[in-house]
Amino acid sequence: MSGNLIEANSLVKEYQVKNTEEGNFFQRILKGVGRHSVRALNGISFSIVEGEFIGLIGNNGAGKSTLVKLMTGVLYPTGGTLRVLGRDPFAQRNKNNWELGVVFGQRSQLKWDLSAMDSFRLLRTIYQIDSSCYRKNLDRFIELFDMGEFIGQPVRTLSLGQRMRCEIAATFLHNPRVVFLDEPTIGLDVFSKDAIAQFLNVMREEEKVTVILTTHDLEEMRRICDRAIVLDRGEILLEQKIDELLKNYNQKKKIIFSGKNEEFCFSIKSDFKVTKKPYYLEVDNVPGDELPAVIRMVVSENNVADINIEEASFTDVIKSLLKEGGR
Amino acid sequence: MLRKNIEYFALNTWLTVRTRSTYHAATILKLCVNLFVTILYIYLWKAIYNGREIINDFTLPDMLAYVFLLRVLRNLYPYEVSQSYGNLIRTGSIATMLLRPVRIELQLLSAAAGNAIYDFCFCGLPSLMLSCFFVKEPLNFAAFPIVLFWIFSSCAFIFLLELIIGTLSFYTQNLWGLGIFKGTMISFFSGELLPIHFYPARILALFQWLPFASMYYIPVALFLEKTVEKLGIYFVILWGSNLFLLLIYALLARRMIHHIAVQGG
Amino acid sequence: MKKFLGKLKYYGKLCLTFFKLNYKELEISSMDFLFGIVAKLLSYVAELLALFFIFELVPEINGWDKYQVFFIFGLNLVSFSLWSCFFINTITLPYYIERGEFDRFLVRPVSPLLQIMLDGFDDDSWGELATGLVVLGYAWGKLGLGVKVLPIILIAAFSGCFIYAGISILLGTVSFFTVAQADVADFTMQIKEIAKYPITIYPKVMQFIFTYIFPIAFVAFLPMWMIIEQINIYFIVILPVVAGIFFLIARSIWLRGVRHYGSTGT
Repeated sequence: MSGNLIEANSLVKEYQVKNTEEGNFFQRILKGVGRHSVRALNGISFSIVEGEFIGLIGNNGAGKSTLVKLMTGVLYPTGGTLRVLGRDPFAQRNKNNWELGVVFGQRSQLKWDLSAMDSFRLLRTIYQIDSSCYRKNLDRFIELFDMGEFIGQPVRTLSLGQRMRCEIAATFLHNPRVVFLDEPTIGLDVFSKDAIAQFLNVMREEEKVTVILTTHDLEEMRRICDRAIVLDRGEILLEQKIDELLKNYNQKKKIIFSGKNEEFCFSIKSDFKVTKKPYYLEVDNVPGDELPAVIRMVVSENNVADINIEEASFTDVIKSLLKEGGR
Repeated sequence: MLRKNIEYFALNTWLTVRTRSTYHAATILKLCVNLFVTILYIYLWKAIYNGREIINDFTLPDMLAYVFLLRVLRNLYPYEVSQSYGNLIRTGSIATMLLRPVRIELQLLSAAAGNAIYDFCFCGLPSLMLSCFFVKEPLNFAAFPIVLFWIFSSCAFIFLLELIIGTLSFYTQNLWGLGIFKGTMISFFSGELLPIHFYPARILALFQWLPFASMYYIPVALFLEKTVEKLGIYFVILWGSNLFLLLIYALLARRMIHHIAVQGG
Repeated sequence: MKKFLGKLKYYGKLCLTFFKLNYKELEISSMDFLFGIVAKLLSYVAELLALFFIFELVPEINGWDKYQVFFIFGLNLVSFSLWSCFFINTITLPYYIERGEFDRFLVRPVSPLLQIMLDGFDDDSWGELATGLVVLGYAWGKLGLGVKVLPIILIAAFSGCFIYAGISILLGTVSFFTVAQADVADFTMQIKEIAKYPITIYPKVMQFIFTYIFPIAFVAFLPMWMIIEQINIYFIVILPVVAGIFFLIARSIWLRGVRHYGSTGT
């Protein structure tokens, strides 16, 4: 027993996809439609330790949802092994899911016409939560999320932010050991996102819960997660602690010049990323130690009025990673 | 203006057909269910007739022809409109639909037409082809134009009825129950369950004056060369009802649309 | 043993909770609900009238007289209403899958089939049950069967319920494999239509199918036949046995379907 909560080894997941574009309607009816296989996950390996908060990033179609579905036992792998809580999540799904919680961002697990409170009661019965634990969690969540006002209203009348708070509270109600959040903050306003981030941080301190978060909001991931796993086209591009990630890639900076030249001239041959716009020049990917030289050169050849130096944002880091890694 | 509407109608009808054609499994299933039910009724009527020559002016071959034609017609009539309309209202999507430069009724009508065409091709025609094995009955093709016109009139009737039911669901918040109620009324009065000429004489005397009778009984009777007396009166009843329904619908719809425009659904 | 009792208690509580919640949902649209029950009732009355009218014209169908056919109609309706009460949500499986909501069930530690059942666990089929009981009672009286057939009828009703369940589950499972919005609901209703009449009206091939493959003959016709023919009462056990086997087969195909879903993740 390696003590890892979740462990994947050379995990492969293939789908058979129909070739839908061949031929016209009648050809398809007569000949039948061929299939080709698509590898959603191409032999990835990783491990997650208890108490970690993992951020799963990747472009759409990189395999994130597939991975989450594999870990929750909805799908089973085509190859490789996957162990969640020491068990095969598909084969022992019923056993595993007592200790798992999942939020699928676009789909609700709450009953639409009833209040969130009703759905909570249902979950209490399903997960056999004992009443003291239930009460304690409920009170805690209501306070953390400020849900007291709307918890008795029908879910369909709630705003997206309110609803998502209920969803997340519902997921943590039975004290799961692992929680999967699949794009929970899509379309949410800043306050709700904040509230959720705070909530998760509280959970991390008070419970020993492991969270796997899928999101496109990279700043949010930076706020909540310890480690990032970057997926691209079914493979792990990068797997690193977020601090280290930022440190490594933060050595590169971006300089923004603005001034009176309609077109700036930039004569340094390099692999800096240069963007020219009227009265504007942006030089990206400049290593820290080359900053002075670049600035000096641009200032000498142009009529510069203002200079701004930015650190590469987390978003830029990941973007450049995905672009580099992409073929 | 008229031309734009016609163009829209043709386009949307074709789009509906295209959309339906992507659902292969559903089409096949629907076809199977149709054939299934047809066969069921064929054997039921055979058992009922059980060697008898004629009942109420219909021989067994007549009856079997009726069963097939009923199935085909059933696929033509725009039954689903009230549910679509009601759903649009319930979910509020109707607001978006109303904003379009085409009238909502035209949108619904073209969708219904598309569905009718598709169902006819993939459910009705196969049924007809199957019927050649079961029924050796000479059909009165000379009556075809009249039959077509009658079917068209009945379509209008059903469509208007559906529109009203759809609108009613707005006023009563009742979609599902109303739908079932409508279905029951139609099938009972029009002779889907049992051709109305088999109803006891007193009841038949009443029902035959309802426009519902025109849906199945009259077209089939014409096709089978049965003498249909007083065709003209039925015509008047049918189109009279159509006009009446149109009026009711106009009233209901106007208030409803006004309400939606003001309140936003 | 204790574990078994514990499990039973758990499921009992689960059913109760779902039932209460579903009822709450219904209260919200209670007018519609009531109206729906009445409308359904009317539809069955209409069917009944149609049957009445037929018997005004002919004294018997295929050798079966009026009250025997009514008996079948009534028993069929009772079984169907029981199915409607417990299993009706199984026909919405295609919709769940199409909208990707099926995953929600898989993620919980309870069998997804049970969850789907419970989600639709309400009784808008009161009208059906009432009509069925009335017709059944009427035919029962007219046939002069006496009280001794009551246990048979009860067994037949519940067996019929499970046969219908097997059918709807099987049909629903199709949607695991075809990814299309198949009109399962309609098909199940049509099956009910078949079971309404004595199966002797169908050709031998179909009778075979309805007895040995999709055992809908066992829902209403065969029980009626067994009662009329005064078959030895112990043969009645064949009803729940057939229902049970069919249901289990349907369930194992369902499980196969879930597994297939796990591979394609539609």
